[in-house]
Amino acid sequence: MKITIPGWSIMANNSRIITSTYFLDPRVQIFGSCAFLMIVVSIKNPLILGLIFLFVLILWKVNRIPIKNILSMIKLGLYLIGMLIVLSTLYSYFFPQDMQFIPFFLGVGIYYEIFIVFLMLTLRFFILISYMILLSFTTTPSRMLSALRALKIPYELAIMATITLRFIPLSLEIWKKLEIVAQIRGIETKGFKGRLYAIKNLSFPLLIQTIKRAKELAYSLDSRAFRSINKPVNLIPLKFHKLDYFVVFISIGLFAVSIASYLGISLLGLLT
Amino acid sequence: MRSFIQINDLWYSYFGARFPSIKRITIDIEKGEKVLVLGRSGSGKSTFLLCLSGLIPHSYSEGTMKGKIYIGNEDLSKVPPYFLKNKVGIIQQNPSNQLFERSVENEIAFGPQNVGLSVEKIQERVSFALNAVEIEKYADQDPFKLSLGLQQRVCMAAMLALNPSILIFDEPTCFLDEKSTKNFIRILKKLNEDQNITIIASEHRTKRINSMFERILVLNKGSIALDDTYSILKNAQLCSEYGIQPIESEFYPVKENFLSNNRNEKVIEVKNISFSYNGQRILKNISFTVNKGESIGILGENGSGKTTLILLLAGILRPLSGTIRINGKLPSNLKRKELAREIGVLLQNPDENILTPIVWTEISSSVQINNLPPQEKEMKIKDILNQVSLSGFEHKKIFKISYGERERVALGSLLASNPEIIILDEPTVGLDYENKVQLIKLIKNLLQEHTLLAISHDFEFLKAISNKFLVLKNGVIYEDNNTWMVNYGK
Amino acid sequence: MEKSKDNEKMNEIKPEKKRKFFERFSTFDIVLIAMIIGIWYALQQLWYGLCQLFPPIYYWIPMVVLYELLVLPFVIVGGTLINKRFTILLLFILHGLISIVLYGIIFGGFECLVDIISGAAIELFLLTTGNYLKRPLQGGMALVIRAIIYYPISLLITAYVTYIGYAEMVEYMYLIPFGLFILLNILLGAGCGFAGGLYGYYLGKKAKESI
Repeated sequence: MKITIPGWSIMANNSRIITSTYFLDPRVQIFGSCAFLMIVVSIKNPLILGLIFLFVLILWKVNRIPIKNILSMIKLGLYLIGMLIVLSTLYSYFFPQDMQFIPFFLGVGIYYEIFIVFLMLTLRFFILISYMILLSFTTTPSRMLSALRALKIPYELAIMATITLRFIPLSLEIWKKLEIVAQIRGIETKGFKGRLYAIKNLSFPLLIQTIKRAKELAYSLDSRAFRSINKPVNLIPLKFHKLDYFVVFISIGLFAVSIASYLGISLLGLLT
Repeated sequence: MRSFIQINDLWYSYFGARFPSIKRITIDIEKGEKVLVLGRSGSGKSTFLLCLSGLIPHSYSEGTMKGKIYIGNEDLSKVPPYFLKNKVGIIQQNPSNQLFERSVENEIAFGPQNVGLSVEKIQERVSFALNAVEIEKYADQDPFKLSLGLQQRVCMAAMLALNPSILIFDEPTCFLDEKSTKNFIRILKKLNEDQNITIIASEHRTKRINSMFERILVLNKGSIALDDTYSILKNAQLCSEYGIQPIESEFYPVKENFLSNNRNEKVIEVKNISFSYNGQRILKNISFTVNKGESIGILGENGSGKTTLILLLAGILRPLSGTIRINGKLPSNLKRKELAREIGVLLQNPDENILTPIVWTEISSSVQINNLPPQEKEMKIKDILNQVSLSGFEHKKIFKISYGERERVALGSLLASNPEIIILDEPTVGLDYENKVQLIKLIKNLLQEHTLLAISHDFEFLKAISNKFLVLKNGVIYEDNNTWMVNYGK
Repeated sequence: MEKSKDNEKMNEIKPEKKRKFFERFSTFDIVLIAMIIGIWYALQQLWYGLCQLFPPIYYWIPMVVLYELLVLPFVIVGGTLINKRFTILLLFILHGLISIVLYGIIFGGFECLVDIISGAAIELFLLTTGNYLKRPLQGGMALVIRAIIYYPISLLITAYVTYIGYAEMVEYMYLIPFGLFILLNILLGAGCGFAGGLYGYYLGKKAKESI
């Protein structure tokens, strides 16, 4: 019998294929994420940003993340550009701005400078969000907590985090049950008014049920020797592999490049 | 020489309580003994078990404890229970409230981890515990996705991983159906025989588990009233004095004159309804009718779709196919207020049905009462409280009254909408014998004016209040008065 | 079936003294804090669903108002129920930790940083005023302090670290300087936070008295 790597991420697909990204040490993932953020923030060239976004999408493909997760982002982007076009058109008539206006048809158009700002903003937004989704699909909360324990967070905090992560969907279930009770009594909980009523009036019973549950779980933890020692053994041992060293090396490189960019050192004229 | 468990003059009082919850308890329990603790609600059973498990005073310090408990010569008040040579484990009523990990293995490994064992030793312990309760094939699964019976076994395994010599259970069969209860008793017997584990349990439903307990302790007002073998459960008078269910008790079945005379009108018509959840078929082509004034008992194992059926009838869920008509109307066509007047549901566990802290506000939270003028409202609330035998409870705090009284408050808030059809989901869970008798009386009084559907594992209760039975098995409904009555539970 | 034979090994282990910070909290306090953060995140989902009902251009107004009035009061509820020093700080630290686990080090890391700073500031306020969360005004002021710290830091991080260009976009859409936008967020957050804090205090008190 082996101790299995426990559970799957609450956001992850249970049937996903294990890929190399999954087996990256979460500490390396944390370090790599910091490097990634620095490079995304320091690049001012939209072409390079576009290439980085494509690279992240390739990682998605490798890790078999469903592409539908990107659809909501694209919808948001389209919505934003639509809103900008409407605002630009209105401003061009009522509050003319000191920017170059590019008309499309029938007086509808967009300001060029704001379009560039929008482009850079949405590209960074897409890159960071898709990277976050990639991480959530390739790291279970347990492994992430194990990494944080290795980075010296107290054991009590790690268990509290496990309980919280477990309790988020349970609170929603309790909430739904309370809504059913309210509906059975003839109270509507749908629509804006109904939902406001629900949040105001169902918070108290949610709290009471939480307190009762907490008491029972606390007894159960105490009877299983919780907090009898300060550093119980970590059941998810983390070890560095060759891939981890490789990613660390790349991350250091990315840090160097982004620092150079901040200092104004242009590399092959590409970064600025 | 001391007995294995020796309790000397134990007293326990909660802070602010007028009377002690436990007083003058002195008993000896030998190793490997099986003890059943009985008593009415409020007699001190749970407090006694918490003291015996060491949670009082090590985890729970909202009172003062006097006296001594020795487990194998070690003083329980000085040594935490998991550091004793003879460890104590306690499993409480609701197994799902005691779990928090993402896999069964990790849940079981939690205890050994906390006592500083190495990974190899922990693996050994987990393996042993999984085998002991026969849940090896569920090792990788999410414990929250398992049935209540299996969750309870996970809780037992989690305790067994610490190698206890004593296992304490607080109302272990409360939420279990007949099949799960039988499995639970079988595993308990096996643990006791193979490993000589001392078993101490409290229970209200004596008929279910009395067969394996040699020794019965009856608590009354915090003291031990009786310490005898299970034969005392045959003495009905003695049992009634202490509010416990005698083995050979039978509730009087509902007589025809309790039911209304006008029972020809259809109030519920269910035709070929099916329902799926997460790709799994829960109900398959269910059809049945309920006439006005009838009292239907619905039986079925855990997971057979009983709660889903209730939610479909109450209009909370919509069937995938088929129709439901309540008094000739489709629930989806009615507004919430109108539907509440037709059908009222009391879900399992009264605490989950309560929305406010005070009895008065709970009863008046129903929309029908809330909109009445103040004088009429007051009269109506008093009338309802009278109906549920809670007169004088108007301004009491709901979570400070007993469990049975809370159940009646929940029933009262349901009656506030004055629904024609009342559905009760497992109304006897957690109730002691006296409260069950009172509930049956209350229900019989309601039968003149309401149609009733009751879902329960408690077959005696259903026999007492129903004139007709339906059995739900594998998503299909069977309607038969006699054959299933006789065979159910075998 | 053989019983494992290492009871002797287990009996060699002696109970250790608890870590000083966590010594003051019982297991029940720890579990309750964890579950309250769970409610916080669960309510966030409901809150987000409510905000979607509003016209998107002024999204940020209902987001701030509803969050301060409906979701954040649970922090004060937790503090009122447990009523021990450093409860609020622990609540915020755990919230930050969960953000890192759920949202990754980039977004979660900044959220964690702002949470720890807010938590520490609220804790300092409560410790200096004494009688830890025994007065309703303390609950109100706690969320005001959080709003004063949270909104400027998180908006500045958003505008100059994670989403560069956000400031220009805001100035363009609302025709107001970004500094004024931050100020409006602070005023709205502080006002609604005060009301939310009072609500949280009374809700916690009601729950404590009911059980």
